[in-house]
Amino acid sequence: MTTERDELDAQAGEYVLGLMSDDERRQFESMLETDGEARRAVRETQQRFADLDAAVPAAAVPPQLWARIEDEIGKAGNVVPFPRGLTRIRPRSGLKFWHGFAAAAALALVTAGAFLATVSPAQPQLIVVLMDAQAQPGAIVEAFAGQRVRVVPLSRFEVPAGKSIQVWTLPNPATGPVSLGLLDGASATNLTGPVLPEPRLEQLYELTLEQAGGSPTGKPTGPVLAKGFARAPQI
Amino acid sequence: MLDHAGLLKACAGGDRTALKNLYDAEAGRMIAVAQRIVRRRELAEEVVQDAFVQIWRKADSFSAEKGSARGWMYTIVRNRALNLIRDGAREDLIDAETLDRARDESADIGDAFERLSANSALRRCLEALDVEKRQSLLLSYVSGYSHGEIAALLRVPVGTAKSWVRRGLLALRDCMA
Repeated sequence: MTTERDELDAQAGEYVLGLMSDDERRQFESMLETDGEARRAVRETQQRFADLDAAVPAAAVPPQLWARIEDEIGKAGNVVPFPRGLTRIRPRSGLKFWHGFAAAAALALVTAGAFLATVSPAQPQLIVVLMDAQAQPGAIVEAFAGQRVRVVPLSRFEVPAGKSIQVWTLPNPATGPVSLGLLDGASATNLTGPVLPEPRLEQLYELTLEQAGGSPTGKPTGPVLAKGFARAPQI
Repeated sequence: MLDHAGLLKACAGGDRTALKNLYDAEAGRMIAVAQRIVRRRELAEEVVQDAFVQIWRKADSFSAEKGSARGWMYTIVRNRALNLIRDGAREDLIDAETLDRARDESADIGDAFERLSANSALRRCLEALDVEKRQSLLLSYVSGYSHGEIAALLRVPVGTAKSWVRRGLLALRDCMA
């Protein structure tokens, strides 16, 4: 004899085992949203089988796997308070990086134009030219839908040993700056930040020099290398 | 014993170290669990990579109502692995005519079963099942096989395989209650 409870438990079992067709699964998942009994049945089935997962001998974990996960979630994708020091330019004597900036300045706008015309197949929603302390363009950020940004250095970034360049944006002053990830040396880098509102006009983007691997606090702590505000491309 | 639920809560608050702790504790076993389903090691690593990104992004949706935190994480891994093979990425899909293949499968699920600890209720209750129901459940849970694949491996009609799984599930529930 099959009771209603049996039917639900058997369905939950087939759901947990992954035996449902796409249609059945969708139907069952919409039931899960409203039906606490169905959620109970799924939870209990999962718990019954859990020993099979716990008993498996661990495989060797490749060393680069964690770095790939970190890349995807953003190096320090935390929403943090807006630091007062954000716009303060700190002393940075000895950073060769700035010489590169100055030398590249003349070419920067030309490079930017060429890049925008040829490299980017998807249209960015917004473009930011990040200016350095000498008011020269140091990098371009293209902001695409879905939290994806492409950062293009306009000069050779020489990062001192033990340091990283971190990319930040300020979706709104109430939540504070959010890390979009680390720049990969001197080359253009695609980053996917944490889930944020779509980028908007005049949104602040900036690069700071942080310790290797990113700011330990999840908010900008090092000197601001360049910053700028988002503009809409007139394409 | 690691506090999985506490670490997930910290993940929801943006603490990456908490995610790393979960990763250090579980990634190796998760790769092994995924590999039993997707077969190829690099696919299994991809599954675990995706799973940790999801765990990070969905950590705030975890609640005790969803069961144990650890179980929730492994469910994500299994679902990623199952999605991958549904999309056709499992290259050596079972060939029912290859007896060697079938022997491999029964070795795999036999191994998974033998590794259950002697005092596991799951082990005791799987042991109490008819052999065909036990095999059907293990082929599905451990290796991610569909009704049709289980039927082919055990050389019975699909309807029979479905009924073995269903009756096995209910018998397991009653035994473990």
